[in-house]
Amino acid sequence: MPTKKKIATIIPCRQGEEKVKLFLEQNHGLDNKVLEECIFYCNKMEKTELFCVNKEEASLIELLLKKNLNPYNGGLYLGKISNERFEPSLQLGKEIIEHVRRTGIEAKRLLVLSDHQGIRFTYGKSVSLTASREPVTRDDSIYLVVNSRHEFLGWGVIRNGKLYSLLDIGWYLRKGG
Amino acid sequence: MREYDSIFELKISSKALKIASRYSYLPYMIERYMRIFPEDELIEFLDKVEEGVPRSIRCNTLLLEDCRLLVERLEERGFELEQTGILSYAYRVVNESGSLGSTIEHLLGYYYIQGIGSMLTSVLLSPREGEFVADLASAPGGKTTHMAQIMNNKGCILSVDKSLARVKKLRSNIQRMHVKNTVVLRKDILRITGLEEFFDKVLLDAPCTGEGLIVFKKERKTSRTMDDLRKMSGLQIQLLEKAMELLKPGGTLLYSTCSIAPEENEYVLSNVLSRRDDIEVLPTRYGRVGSPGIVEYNNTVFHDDMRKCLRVYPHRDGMEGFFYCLLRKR
Repeated sequence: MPTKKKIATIIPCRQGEEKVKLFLEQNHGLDNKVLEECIFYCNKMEKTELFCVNKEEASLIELLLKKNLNPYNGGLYLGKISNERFEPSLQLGKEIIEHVRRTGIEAKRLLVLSDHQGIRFTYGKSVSLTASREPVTRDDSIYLVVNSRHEFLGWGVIRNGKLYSLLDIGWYLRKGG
Repeated sequence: MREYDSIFELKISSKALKIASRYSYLPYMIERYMRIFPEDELIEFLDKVEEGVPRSIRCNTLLLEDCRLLVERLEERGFELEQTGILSYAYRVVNESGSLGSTIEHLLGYYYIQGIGSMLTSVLLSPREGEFVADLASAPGGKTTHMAQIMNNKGCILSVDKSLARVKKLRSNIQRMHVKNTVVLRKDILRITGLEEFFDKVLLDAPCTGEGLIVFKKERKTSRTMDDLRKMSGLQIQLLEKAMELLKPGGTLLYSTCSIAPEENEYVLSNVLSRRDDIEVLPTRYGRVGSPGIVEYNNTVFHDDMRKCLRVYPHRDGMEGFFYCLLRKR
């Protein structure tokens, strides 16, 4: 008998809030002002997805849950937790860059690409950083990747002098539909 | 039998057959257009459909303070844009030098490819910051993301669609356009219970046969039958009744379709209005754009308030065909 495809339901979650705040602080040296007035929700599927919703959205979600209606997505999508590791979303990256632009605060692990490098990166291809000022690191730190206009292009990791895309805005074209 | 069902009875004239053959339409469509437009205007309409209208984009003011920067960037890439004069952030793409959906600016969420007729729905409903709004049958998200833009990402939109594949596209567009005030629900709206009288505003851009999109999709000239119109209008009546349930007393609902078929518009509304006394039709106008709704068609007289509704046509308004009608729940 064919099984009906289930869709995730979002519910309030503290675990998600802690994960995101830790990520912002440890990875980018940012406090939780990036996500001010956020109410944290998660869904529980194979990977836990995290959302930041406003108070009106929270009240609607609570009403939907009470009426056995299962919301699928809400507010700002922050990312997902896989094997206890937080994987940030494109929306969170954009939110961080917007916060940095607005406040003038510097974010750690922000990598600026040339236009040519930026195009390669948004095709999901690796980018050689040999000509870049960025030091070659051996850790698994996640980098905020922007272009010369400081527009958010995605998340990447650096290995052996090359930047690899973890998630880039080309995803919207390749997989987002 | 529903009221006004006489609109589905159609005799096809030899003249309609001749024009249908010349422009490659199913004859019943031409017969209906002969009852909507005077003869010279009918030809003008058919010629405009052949010519087509340019695609258009909506600049995302959630991410860009000045849309001229977007115009400059796209023009540097060889696109030619023209301000619509209808919405300050809407542009016609009069010359496409490449794929409009794969520029970096599109991936950055700086614009949404959307017909001007489609953009007008969100503007006519005019949601405000802090309101609770429902967008029923919402995927892929053009109207939801536009309403979020108008609401400045404040308040809350419930965006509903019943197809999983479409809901995934909706979510992708919500994220790309950096919309933050939307809750997505995958559900058949006819099966929603428990949200009665909750919303300040409701947008029902009803599923339709897409007769207004014929300027973009020429296959529509032969792809739908009169029976499809009859079936679709039955669903639209059910959806409108359901949408009214979700609306607060005093709240506003916009019924719209991307169809110019009276069967999917004035017929649907007249049927619902004839059974209920808690709905008021509001004047639906946007400057000098569009024409009033149809009151008489194919020997049938619709509800008199249909003249308050709004129709747009490619040959008169330079955009895809659309129908809009604002309703208030008493």
